[in-house]
Amino acid sequence: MRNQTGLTEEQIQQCQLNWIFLTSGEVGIGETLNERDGNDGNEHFSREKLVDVTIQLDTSQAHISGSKTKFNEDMNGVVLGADAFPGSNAIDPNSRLSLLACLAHELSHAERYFLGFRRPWKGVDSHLDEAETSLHASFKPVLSFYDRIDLVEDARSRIDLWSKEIGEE
Amino acid sequence: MQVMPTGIVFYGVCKVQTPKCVAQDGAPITAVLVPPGRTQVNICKPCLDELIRQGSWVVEGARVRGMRQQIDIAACSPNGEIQLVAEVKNKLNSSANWAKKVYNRAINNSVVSNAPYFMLALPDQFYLWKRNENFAQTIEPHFALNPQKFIKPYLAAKSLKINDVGVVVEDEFRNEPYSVIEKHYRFQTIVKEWLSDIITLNSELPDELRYFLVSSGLYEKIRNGFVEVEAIIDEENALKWRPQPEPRLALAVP
Repeated sequence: MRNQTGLTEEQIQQCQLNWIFLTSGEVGIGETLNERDGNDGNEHFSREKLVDVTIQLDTSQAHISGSKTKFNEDMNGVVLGADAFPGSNAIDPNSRLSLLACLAHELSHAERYFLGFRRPWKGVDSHLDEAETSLHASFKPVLSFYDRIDLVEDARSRIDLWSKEIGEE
Repeated sequence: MQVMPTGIVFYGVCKVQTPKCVAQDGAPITAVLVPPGRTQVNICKPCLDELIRQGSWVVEGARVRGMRQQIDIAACSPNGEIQLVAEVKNKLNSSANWAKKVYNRAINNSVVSNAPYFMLALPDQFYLWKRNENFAQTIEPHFALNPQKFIKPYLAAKSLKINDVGVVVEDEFRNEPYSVIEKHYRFQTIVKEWLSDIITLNSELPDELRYFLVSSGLYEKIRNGFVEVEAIIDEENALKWRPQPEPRLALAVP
């Protein structure tokens, strides 16, 4: 289990610093993908969908114990929760994920949403969405080697969870 | 060059400052460890993405849009055509099956599959594949060489032993990723130096090398040519070496 204690002001500032870093130069901040890379029109997904998307970090709930970090598609943003910080269970990859890896995961939810993915967000198949999102995040160059490993292992544990629960249905 | 992001984020000035930089005067940045010597480079995210996109830096497993390919070593003929693509790995006591797997992965890369020769350079074994009509299907190496005798002087010149460039333990990358990147850099430099010396050698080649290089036809192609490390290749012009500008690393130190 990840951290459940409401975040201090200092911790929230740390989250904001990581978020600004993670989203700096990202698509939608005054730059289009076409301008940046030269779109050859041969992409799996339409790059235009990501243009002019700014993903905000809402910190209003973060001081509340037990609050959850999640992507909120209605507000184009990520709600910061107490669980942005890792927990004390070093065995569980999800509990172990660093703050940066956690935020990268949430940013990936947003990126995937604007790329057009509409995966289930509840029920057993939501585990697959979470697994895909962790894998998506694992390709981000800003992450440490250990963050990358933890994200991949998080994906694996979520697939295991899916396998277990689908068998029970 | 393989680099290792630390994942630590703090406020500071970016030392790279590409045209995409957002931290020329201070902003959230990260620290990346760069060989040799695990030098710390403070860099903003757009500059990190940019160096990876250009192919100047490689972060194992990471991808960015529009990323260019980097190959460990390219040996070119005198007119600049890439004849040999070499992939450097640090694994010691590897099996032939493992080498074949590396080769199979490598030939999915269009630059590798277009090059006339592919070499897998390990500290205790060099494997060479020669392109032919069955290049993509052939997995057995055409030539093999134990390079230890030849690289020994290069190791000695740097006061290194084979374990300083080789990875023994299976999980070493997982346990010690920083030291593995350092070893990769060292061994890559040694292979480059050895190849550069070989192709400009005036005297006769030793017998083992003659078998490896001359019988394969490679020596004739690269003789008096040149060798580049961390070659950045345009897929559209895959077999022609084009020098790349150096990243403006650390030019903006206050």
